Amino acid sequence: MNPVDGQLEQRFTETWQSPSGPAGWIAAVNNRPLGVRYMLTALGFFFVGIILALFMRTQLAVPDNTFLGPDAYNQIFTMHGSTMLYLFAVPFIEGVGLYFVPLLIGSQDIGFPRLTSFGYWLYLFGGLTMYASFLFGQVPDAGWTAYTPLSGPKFSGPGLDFWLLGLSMIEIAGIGAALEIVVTILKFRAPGMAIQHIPLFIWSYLVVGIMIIFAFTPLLLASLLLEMDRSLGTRFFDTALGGSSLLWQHLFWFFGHPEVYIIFLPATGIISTIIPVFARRRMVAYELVVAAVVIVGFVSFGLWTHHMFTAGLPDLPMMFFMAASFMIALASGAQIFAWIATLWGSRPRYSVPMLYILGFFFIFVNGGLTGVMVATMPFDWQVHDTNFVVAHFHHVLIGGAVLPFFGGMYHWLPKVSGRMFNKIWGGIGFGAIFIGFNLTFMPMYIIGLLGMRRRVYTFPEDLGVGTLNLISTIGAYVLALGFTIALLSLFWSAWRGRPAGGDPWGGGTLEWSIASPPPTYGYRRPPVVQDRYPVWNPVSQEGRNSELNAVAEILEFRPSGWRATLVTDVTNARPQALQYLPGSTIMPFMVSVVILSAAVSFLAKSFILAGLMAGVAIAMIGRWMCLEPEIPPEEAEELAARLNLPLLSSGTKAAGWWGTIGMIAILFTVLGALIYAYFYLRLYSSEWPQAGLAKPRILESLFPFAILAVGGIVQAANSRFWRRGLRRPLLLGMSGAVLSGIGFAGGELWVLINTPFGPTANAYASIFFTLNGFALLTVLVGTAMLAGTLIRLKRLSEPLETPRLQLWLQNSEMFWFFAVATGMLVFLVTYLMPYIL
Amino acid sequence: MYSEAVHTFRPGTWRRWFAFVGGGIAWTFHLLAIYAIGEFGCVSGFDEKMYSGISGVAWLLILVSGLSIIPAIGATFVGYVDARRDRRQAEHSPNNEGERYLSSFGWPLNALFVLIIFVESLPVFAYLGGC
Repeated sequence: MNPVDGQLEQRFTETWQSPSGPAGWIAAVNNRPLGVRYMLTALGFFFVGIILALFMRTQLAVPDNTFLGPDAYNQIFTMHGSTMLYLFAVPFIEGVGLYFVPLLIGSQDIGFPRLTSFGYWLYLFGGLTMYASFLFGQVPDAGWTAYTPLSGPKFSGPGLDFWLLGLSMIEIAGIGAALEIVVTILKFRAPGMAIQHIPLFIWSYLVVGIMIIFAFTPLLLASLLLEMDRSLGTRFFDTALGGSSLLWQHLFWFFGHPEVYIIFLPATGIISTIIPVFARRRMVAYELVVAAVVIVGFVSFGLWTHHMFTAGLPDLPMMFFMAASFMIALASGAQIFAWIATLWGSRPRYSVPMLYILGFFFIFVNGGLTGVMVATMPFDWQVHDTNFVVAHFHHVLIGGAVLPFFGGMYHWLPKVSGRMFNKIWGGIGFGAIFIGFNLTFMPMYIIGLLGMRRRVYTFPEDLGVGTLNLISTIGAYVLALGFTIALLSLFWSAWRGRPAGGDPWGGGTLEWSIASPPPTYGYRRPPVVQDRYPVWNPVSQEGRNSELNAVAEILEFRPSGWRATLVTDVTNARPQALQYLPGSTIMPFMVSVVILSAAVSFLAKSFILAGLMAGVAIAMIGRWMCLEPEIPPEEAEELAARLNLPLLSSGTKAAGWWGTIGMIAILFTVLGALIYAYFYLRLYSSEWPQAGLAKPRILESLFPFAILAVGGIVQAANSRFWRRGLRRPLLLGMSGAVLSGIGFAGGELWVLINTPFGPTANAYASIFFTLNGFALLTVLVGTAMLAGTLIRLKRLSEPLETPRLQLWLQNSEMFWFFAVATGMLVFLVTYLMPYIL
Repeated sequence: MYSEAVHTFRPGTWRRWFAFVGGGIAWTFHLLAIYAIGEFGCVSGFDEKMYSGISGVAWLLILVSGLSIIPAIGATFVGYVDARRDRRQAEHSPNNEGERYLSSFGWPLNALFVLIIFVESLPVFAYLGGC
């Protein structure tokens, strides 16, 4: 390397490095350190979840045991389920995604680095909030599903508030991480990695990211509605005042069933990565597997009521969900056959990662078959809420996800740490896990069929399940020992293992093309790809690849003065632009601390302080979004000239545009779930508005909503001004749109304040105020975005065509149109519907 | 730095994406519709209104199933036609292999969604007389 390259590399490395010391640790935004932090934190919670499981199994070892009382047992099974599903499984897969997605697609980092940091802190604080309930002796005890009315204010203590607020923070973190993983996959793929060259691991993360956005949002909404019922006195789930317990179940399971596949699909991505490496051949039936992943992604949303077969819903809609449950089994089965076909005729190396995959086959297929059984209504009626179901979902979740996760950890340990694992301890750990799992959960099928309910703290001797329960408890200890050995072996190897070299497996995907562990900056230049296994089939230097290679060559150790990654188009992965990526900052941590303070104030019933804190958090996020890119002009000009690509971009080329689309998708899901809740409450009410409340006054409300509609029309005209470069009319028009937003907010507030009933009167009143409050908030955010753009337009003299102004105009306009549409829909539903239905 | 290749047939972006996910979107519409009609129709008593011996709910379900399966079949057809034309012209458009893949992969995917919509619609025929 010549001295100039050496200097460039040093500068490049420094640009990508996080600051040192504790402050630097807090301010880090790089995907790999944060991905590792996510995984380690999730594994910490996993270990706590195992300890809780051992408490439960010890209690159930013998009949009529008194080791735990019923209250403690309720608390422990609630925290075990919540820990494993909310604090371990999803954060762990997101940690894996944050670390490996950029590596496997040849990107320098993830789409929104500050959001990665914000998500991590929020996840950690959410988990700690849940567990803080132990300090106050108020541990949640309504199960991980928190069914109402058990979780309502009448039957559950303050522990549920810790649970709900902690869960809300974790969900926001989860949705944020999913959004950035999706944007990264769509826009930051290596040049040449067209849609048919995307690794199966990446396909699974793309589908899961989209699923999280649409599945977590209804749960986030449901958690907030339940917390409002508990703390502010709304009545969504209070059946005495027109609320519905089934509404909670619908919103919960609309998240809950896709959640299973959200956990399972990344595991399938890991399996599809490991098998070809150890079978030393390409994955068979790539298209079939991609089709199966996409179909599972869709159809998993069509199964939620199969968790409600015994809830008393009409048979006909239940039958649709039964049919959908059978169809998804076909898609999952297709993947199994593709993996078997890949192994068939090959001579696989049975190293530790492969052992976990073989264990997966045995256990997951077992869980899948019993899944088809419980998807059949008459069978489900017999085993619902018995230990049979506990056995089934542990087969699916441990067999289908945890074993592949462990396989993945062993597979990628050399990549992350640069060191090899100990095969003997790895094998012993796997053996203990496999034997322990089957000892624990196989007997549970029989225990359930013999009639033992789940979530019951003890059982009588004459039920005849004493021996089986004892075997299950012994198995649980063996299983816990296995997990401990496996994890200790991994940590020890990461610290003291022998050096692994860059690619100890001869892997085919991109992460094996660079050193292990990866350098701070990731790729020294964007890799050029023409195959699903780019390491096995490196790119030629001829033809169109010569153009891609030339782009990559220019970007070797460049840009060196600021963080950036190459943007490519969604389908063909052709270079489109460079995307600026922000560097280390303490801002995400500070916002998370303020949100945590808001949650703590809420728990302390200081609602005004909580509101103030929430306002501060929103203002900080607004400031954060307004920060300008810091790009050294000399290098920028030189690079732009050589690359012939924009360094700042707008529209579909900009990550910010995709981020806004994602935010609208999330809010649209909230709106959809709220409207669904409105009609669901209406469906089961004999009169509407309930309990003789007055119908909404259309004429008064018409005023603010008409102003809002005018604001929408004005902005449509602004679009024309903007596209024709007419600055003054645009400034005038945008001022009008901002004024309409302010006018709507004032008018709507006046209408709501003068409504003759309050939000706590009954369920109708609660949903009326919540829907209108949501519209009000959305319009206020839209108005703030328009006002921010307007201020920039006035301050900056640069032409309207410059990318940064374009991006601001596009984003604020998209959001404004969404806000106006939200307002119109809310008007239709809350003001007109009571006169029609 | 980067130039567009010369080619003779290039369907628009929307058409390509319709050929890729049209079936999935049709399935989503079908799911939401059959659930809403199923639960809301049955609870509200609309299933007790009979038209030609078939309940109102069943008629609505048959209607939305038909309305959903048509775009799914359409997406399959468009994908199949595009994929065939792409195959014939592959050598003229080496730079848009990703776009071509949307069609060639999309049509079997859509065909599977047609099958799923069909299977999920079958239960209605066991409940023609009500819920």
